[in-house]
This record gives sequence, structure tokens and C-alpha cells, in this order.
Amino acid sequence: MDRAESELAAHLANAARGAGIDCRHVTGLRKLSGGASKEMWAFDIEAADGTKCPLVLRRQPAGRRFSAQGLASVAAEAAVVRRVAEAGVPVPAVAFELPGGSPAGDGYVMARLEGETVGGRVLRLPELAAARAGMARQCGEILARIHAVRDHATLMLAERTSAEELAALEQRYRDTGQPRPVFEYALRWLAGHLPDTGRNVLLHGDFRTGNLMVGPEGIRAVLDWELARIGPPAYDLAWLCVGSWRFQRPDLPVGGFGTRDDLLASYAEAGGAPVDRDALHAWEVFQTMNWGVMCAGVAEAFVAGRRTVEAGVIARRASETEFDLMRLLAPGHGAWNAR
Amino acid sequence: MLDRPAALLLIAEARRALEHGAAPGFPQKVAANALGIAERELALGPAFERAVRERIGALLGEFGSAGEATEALCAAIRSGTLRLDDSMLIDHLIRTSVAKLAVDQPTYPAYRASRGEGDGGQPRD
Repeated sequence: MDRAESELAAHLANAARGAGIDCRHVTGLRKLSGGASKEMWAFDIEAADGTKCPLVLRRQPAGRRFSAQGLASVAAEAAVVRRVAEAGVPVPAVAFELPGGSPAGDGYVMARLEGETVGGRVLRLPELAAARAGMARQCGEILARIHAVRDHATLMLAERTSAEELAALEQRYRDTGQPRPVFEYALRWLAGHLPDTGRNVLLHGDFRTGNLMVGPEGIRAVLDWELARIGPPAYDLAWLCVGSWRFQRPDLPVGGFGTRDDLLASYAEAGGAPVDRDALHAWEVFQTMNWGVMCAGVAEAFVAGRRTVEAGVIARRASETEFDLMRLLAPGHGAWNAR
Repeated sequence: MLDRPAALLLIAEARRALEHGAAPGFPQKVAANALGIAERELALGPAFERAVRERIGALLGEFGSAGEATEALCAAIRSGTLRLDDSMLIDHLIRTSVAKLAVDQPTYPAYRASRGEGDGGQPRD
């Protein structure tokens, strides 16, 4: 361990003891590859009797700005994870939060679980075939449990109605300054078709292949709760159906592993207020454009000077969402057969 | 209109990455991917822009460039000048989306499936 790592290990040990955890010392600290905005670190806590507990730290280092969308702090995410765990949602159990002002930054520590998270591998690995067969139904059940959490006021999450979501999407598109006829077309279509259920629920906000940890028996944990918010239930159901998360399986609309019928049926059977196919379709249009605007935003940041070759390539993925939007909005048109 | 960042910026960034010793594996693959987009943009871009200008011209009248035509089309969709069920409009949007993916990402699985390539098969419900 270098000096910064030794200091982080010491801060983690202090935070653990402060939370009443039996911690003789922190061992095996190593940085994991992780999300773009957050750092993930693996480590073990060794108790006085020598037993080890495998853990993961998710943090924003001190001094770094929190991402624009989503929760007020990483530690606030832990409160959401604790709440959904009580509701029976599979998540890594939260062990402790970093106390406010900790030199280790803003974050929390959770159980270190084993499983596959990389989207393309989840959809391809032969040993996960049985898991994939049941995952659309499992997703329906899990989303119904998340959406059933009622006492979410204390979580202080942002809330948006359907109309507010649509207005925010349009504004984010306008802010990119790029003229995109397909997005204009989708916006006008959404203005006439996006249903307002009038009932907002707790949403995961980023529920898709890539944020689901999978083992041979199925989904082990739902990860990455930083975009949790209050909004229309179909928001989560439709995000899972966006074409960009299907990887090599565009034929399987639910995350590249299942069918919409299985997703909607299991959602309703598990107590979710029924979402019909038209509502899901309209929200798929919304969410496909939502991902497209995110890619277009990367292009603006690139042109403004925040340049990496990876960002340049992601920016040029906005066009895949235009293609998917037209597949959703005009599937039977003769132009698809033009060569 | 093809998207930003344009071919020259992609080439410059890929060159910078290679000069700084982009590691074998994923980083080199990303740089090669960026160069592939730029290469296809240089090869297919002029015909793409010509087709965009002609198709929008047929819908809305003559324009000096594909960029001007695209901005006018956006305004016409937004204002309701064009109906959403206008078959010529939909024809243009589909052809343009397909042509953009031919530059940006010809390996996108849904694109390949729509061209009868790949092994994705028929979409299911």
C-alpha cells in the first residue's frame, strides 16, 4: 500500500469502529474499476478474533464535486439502499457510512458480493443461461418491491411527474444546441402520447443490464442507486427495455434477456399497479431519447474541451438511439427495406 | 447532419491517445474505433450530406447546406408545419438514421439485424 492507501485504510478502520464494528484492522485494500463518477474500493475488515469480512467502499473522494443528477451525497444513497433492503429488494447490505467530514470523503461501505455485472457477459456466459431465462420475471418482481416502498419521504429524493420529466428531457436536448430531427419528432410524439399515471413511486432510476449482479441462480443484487428518485413507475420498466442495453441480443427487448409480456405480468403479479403495453411503449420512446440526450451531452462536453477518445466514441452513439426511436415510432414503414 | 465530434477531432484525439501510449486491449480498441468512425465519415459523409439536403429540399424547399436544411426541418417538426404521419418525413428520418449508423456504428446489433445480418433473429415481444 502506498501512503494514500494506508491513510484510507486507517480512515476506514476509524469509521468502522465509530459505527460499532469489531475492527482490529483493515486489510487487502485495492481499487476496483468502477463507475465514471465514483470510486470503488475492495477491502476486508479483520475482527479481534481474526475473522474477515469482505466489503466494498463506494465513495466520492473529498473535494470532488458530486454528479449533477441524482442524490445530494453518496452517503444519502446508503439510506435508499437500507430502505429497499427492508422491502426485500436484493442489494449489497450496507455496513456503515463514512461520517460527515471524513477525510476518506463522502461514501458508504457495503457487503462485497460475488457475481457478474458486465452487461455483455451477463448476456453471453453459458453458465448464466438458466438465470437469463428467469430474469425478466425477476426484474418485474424486484421493481414491484421497489415501487411499493411507501415511507420514502425521509429520503428527501427529487420528485418529477411525467409532464415534468418530459419538460426536463426537452430542455436537456435544447441545451445541447444540436439540431436533431428525430428527437424533435419524438418530442412531439411524446407530447401526445406520454401517459400521466398521477401516481409517483420510489424509482431506482438506472435499472438496466450492467447494474444487475447475476449468478447462475439469477439476480443477486441491484447496484448503483445514485439516480434514485420519485416518479412514474413505467420510468424504471421502460429504461430496462432501451435498445442500448441489449448488447448482442436486440431480439430480446427486456435487457437483452427477456420479453415485455414476462416483465409486465410478473410486475403486476408482485403487486405493481398494472402498466399496459401502450404506456410501456411511450416510456420506451422517452427513455431511448433520454439515453440519446445523455450521449449528445457528452458530445458538447467533448467539443467544449473535456476530451478523451472514449468520450468522442460515446458521443457518436447518440445516433443508435435515433435509429432505435424510428424503429419504435415507425416499425412498418417501407423505408426500412431501402438499400 | 453527422454528429459531433467531427472526424478531425476524433482523429486528433485518437492520435493523442496513441502518442501517450494507449495500452493494448480496451484503450487501443477505443482509439481504433474512433479512427473507424472518422474513416467512414470521410468516405460516406459527402454523399450523406447531399442526400440529406435533397430529401429535405423535397419536403421544404431548397437549402444551401445539409446543416441549414436540418435546422429548418427541426423547426418544421417542432412548429407542426409537418404532420407526424407525413410518409415523406418518416422516410427521411429512417433513411438518415440508417445512414448515420453506417458511419457511426455499423456493428450495432439492431442495425445489423435490420439489414438481415448478424444472429439476433426476429424481434420478440
